[in-house]
Amino acid sequence: MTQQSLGVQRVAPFLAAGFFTLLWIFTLGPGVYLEEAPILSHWHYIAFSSVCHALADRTYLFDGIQMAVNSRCFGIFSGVMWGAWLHALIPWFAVWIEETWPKRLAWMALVWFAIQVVDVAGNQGGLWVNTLDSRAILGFGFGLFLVYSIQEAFHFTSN
Amino acid sequence: MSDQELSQSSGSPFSIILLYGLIFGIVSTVLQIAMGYVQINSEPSGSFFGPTAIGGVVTCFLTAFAGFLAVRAIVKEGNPVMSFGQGSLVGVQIALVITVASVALSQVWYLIDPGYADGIIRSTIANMEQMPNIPDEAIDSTVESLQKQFTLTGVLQTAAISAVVLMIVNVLTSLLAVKLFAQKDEF
Repeated sequence: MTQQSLGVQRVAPFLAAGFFTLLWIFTLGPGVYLEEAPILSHWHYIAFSSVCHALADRTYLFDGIQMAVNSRCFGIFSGVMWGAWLHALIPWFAVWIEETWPKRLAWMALVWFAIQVVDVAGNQGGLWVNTLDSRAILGFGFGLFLVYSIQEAFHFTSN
Repeated sequence: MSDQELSQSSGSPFSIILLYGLIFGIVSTVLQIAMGYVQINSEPSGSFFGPTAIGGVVTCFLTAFAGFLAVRAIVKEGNPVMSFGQGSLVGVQIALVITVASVALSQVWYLIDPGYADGIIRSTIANMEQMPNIPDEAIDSTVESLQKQFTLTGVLQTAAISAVVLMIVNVLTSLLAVKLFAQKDEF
């Protein structure tokens, strides 16, 4: 491997982490730069509308203005961002887990997704009441494992 | 090309992407429209979590994991080797197919039933009026947003902006499927 490709290998995870940080900032919604709440067809809300319902009573406020995604999705996008940074800053840890227990992280991501489905169903069925924070924490686990399990994708390989 | 390579390449990944994209696009749009009718025909509950919101939750789970299921199908259909780059492409393509299918189907439905948009707006106003401490400005803002979203320009703008996030999410879930189901390949 040349010095140049080695350099790219080291930079790529940081680029990915930067990208997911930018995406996370977008999830904070228009409260980041607006003082008054915009109409609901603001591009921040529309951007995430295909993947998140962002109902007002299930969404955090940022600086008094509704965020672009609900608390669970905010947790997921936060987990994605932190997973990417964790990989960029401590790359050997994910590699060690992957080599010790192949695909274990990916299966953990699926388990965390199943937990989301169970949580939504249990709450809707009246078995328990989830909160903004509990949804965000469960979402965080899924996002973290999702990105951490596919960390190899953020490496460039030279042929 | 050996026989094995030939049989592996005969399963067309694009036809699977098209099929899964159309299925998920149509199912999610039909579900949203159906839940819209449930909302129109039900009494206002004064809760944000109405029929359209339930449809929204199911739809977001479906559309987010379309890439995951498409990659799994491609791998099972005789393309066991897939790189992360190819997996990402599946995520992007399936998000585009879902977006186009949703826009086309919803536009056709608004032509078939022109009263649908008005019904949704009226039921939303009635529902919000039942909510405690909702200022008139919030209702006006919601109505303004809905009216915009039901125009052709609004639909196209919404589709173009939301397709970007849909692509990102589907790329992530597609990569997860590559990790779980595909044999390793270099980029």
